[in-house]
Amino acid sequence: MLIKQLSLNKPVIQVRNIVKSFNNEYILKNITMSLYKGENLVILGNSGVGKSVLIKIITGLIKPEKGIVEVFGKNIHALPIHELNKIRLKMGVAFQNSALYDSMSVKENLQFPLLKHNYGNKQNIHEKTIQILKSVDLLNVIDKMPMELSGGQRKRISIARALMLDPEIMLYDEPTAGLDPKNSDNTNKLINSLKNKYKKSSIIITHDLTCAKTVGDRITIIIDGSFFTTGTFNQVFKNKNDNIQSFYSYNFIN
Amino acid sequence: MTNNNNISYLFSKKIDNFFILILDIYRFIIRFFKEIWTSKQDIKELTQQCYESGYKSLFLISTIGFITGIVFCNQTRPYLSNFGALSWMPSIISISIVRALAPIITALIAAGKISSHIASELGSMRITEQIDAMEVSAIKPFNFLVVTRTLASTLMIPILTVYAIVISLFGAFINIHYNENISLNLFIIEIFDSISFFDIGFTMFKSILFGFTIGIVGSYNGFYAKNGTQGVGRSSNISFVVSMLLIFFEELFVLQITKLINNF
Ligand SMILES: Nc1ncnc2c1ncn2[C@@H]1O[C@H](COP(=O)(O)OP(=O)(O)O)[C@@H](O)[C@H]1O
Ligand SMILES: [Mg+2]
Repeated sequence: MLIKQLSLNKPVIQVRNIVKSFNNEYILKNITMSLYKGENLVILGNSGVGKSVLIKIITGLIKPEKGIVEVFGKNIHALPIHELNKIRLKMGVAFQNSALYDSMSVKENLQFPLLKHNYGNKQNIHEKTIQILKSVDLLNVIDKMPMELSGGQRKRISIARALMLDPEIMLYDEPTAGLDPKNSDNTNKLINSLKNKYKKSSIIITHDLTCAKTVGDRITIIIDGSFFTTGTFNQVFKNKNDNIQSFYSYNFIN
Repeated sequence: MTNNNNISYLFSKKIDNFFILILDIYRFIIRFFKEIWTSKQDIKELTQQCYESGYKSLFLISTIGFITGIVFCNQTRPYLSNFGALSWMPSIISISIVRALAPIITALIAAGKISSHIASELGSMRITEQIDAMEVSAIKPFNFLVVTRTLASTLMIPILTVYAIVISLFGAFINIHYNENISLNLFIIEIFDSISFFDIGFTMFKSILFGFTIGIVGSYNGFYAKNGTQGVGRSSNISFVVSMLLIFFEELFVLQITKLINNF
């Protein structure tokens, strides 16, 4: 039902037949997927299958050997850098390892892209910083350096930083990894509220099946370099395939 | 699914890779000059980097420069005194310091402090994906990181060289003053008599070249660092060794040019 409804929308990201290898070892063999406007798409897969590589391909950081990535209808790997950058401004990425600028405080991390792109005046930027830090429940660390934060706090700050430019698309690389249950729960709620309130479209890469179940409108799973199956959480895990069932039993701890 | 067999090399893997590396470095340098003219520079970051590269090596340059001045006088004195030419001390010392000692000492210290620091800073930003994060938020990391740092060292090394000259000459003056009893006034007059405009010009040209080398070598190695923490250490080390070697080659090169021009 829901899936039918979504497919009526135009996809904001369309990935077709992506192939990528490193040192002659094929990681992604044939990846095809679409992200529709206003949906949360969860990508599952064991570690090392190339989920983070896929995000880097979608954001134009890595070039695939074959295949096409279209974001808002534009083939991003064929765009000149200034055109690509216009599209990148509409995408927010929360990296797996947070990737906070460690020479800058939390506040500077958040404000850096806005200041570089001359978005708004000082007062507006400051208010925005406060508002977004509140939404990840971390206003108290505003003046700390990344080194002084816990892994979970960094993770949430990296989500906050990605949100600063008001992206239409959010890409989360394992947003709940290393978070305690309460903070995982808050992060899931945040991801959902961004979809519901601001109609953001998101790709969420995760291992955490609670997260997948809570936030995912559609779930898809990478097995051996391509997507094995796509559907709602229940549809995907109804599948009796050995790979899927073992993924379920290893990862569904709750 | 591996296909190791399909790769053919023009010469051999090592030789091919060497030429690819040279081409890559060439492109990196071209990109630097392109970005300087075509993009807006981050003045705040540039100032910050100038301050850091100046400040970082100031202590070492002061100490080593001063000691060099003193030691060089002590080493030269016996020879000159054998010829009864002690009065030449100030001019010989100042020529050596201005033409050769100060620029090379400054550059070597900067290779150790600045080049390797740029490499390790950019390297750790690369491996912790901070450079990727900049790129996806449409901030050009090449501009923000490489251009500012390379420009900063290109600007600061000549300034530090002038500083090193002053400090070494001061060391030399202290030594000469106590031994030959020459006044500061006379010392300064002798210096200006013996140094030509050409000397200063070539020293500045050399320092600019050294500064650029130090910045670009460190940036290149850091910007393309890989293989985790170990790779960062390696980049930093390589930057020091390579920029040091290049500095000596450039010294030779500039020397040849000076000779050519003097022969005219
Ligand atoms: N820049 C790179 N160079 C070489 N190998 C890489 C690179 N990036 C990723 N890989 C390899 O690709 C595979 C998939 O990595 P990744 O996408 O990080 O997996 P995950 O699904 O856990 O996010 C890993 O085996 C990794 O070693
Ligand atoms: Mg990953």
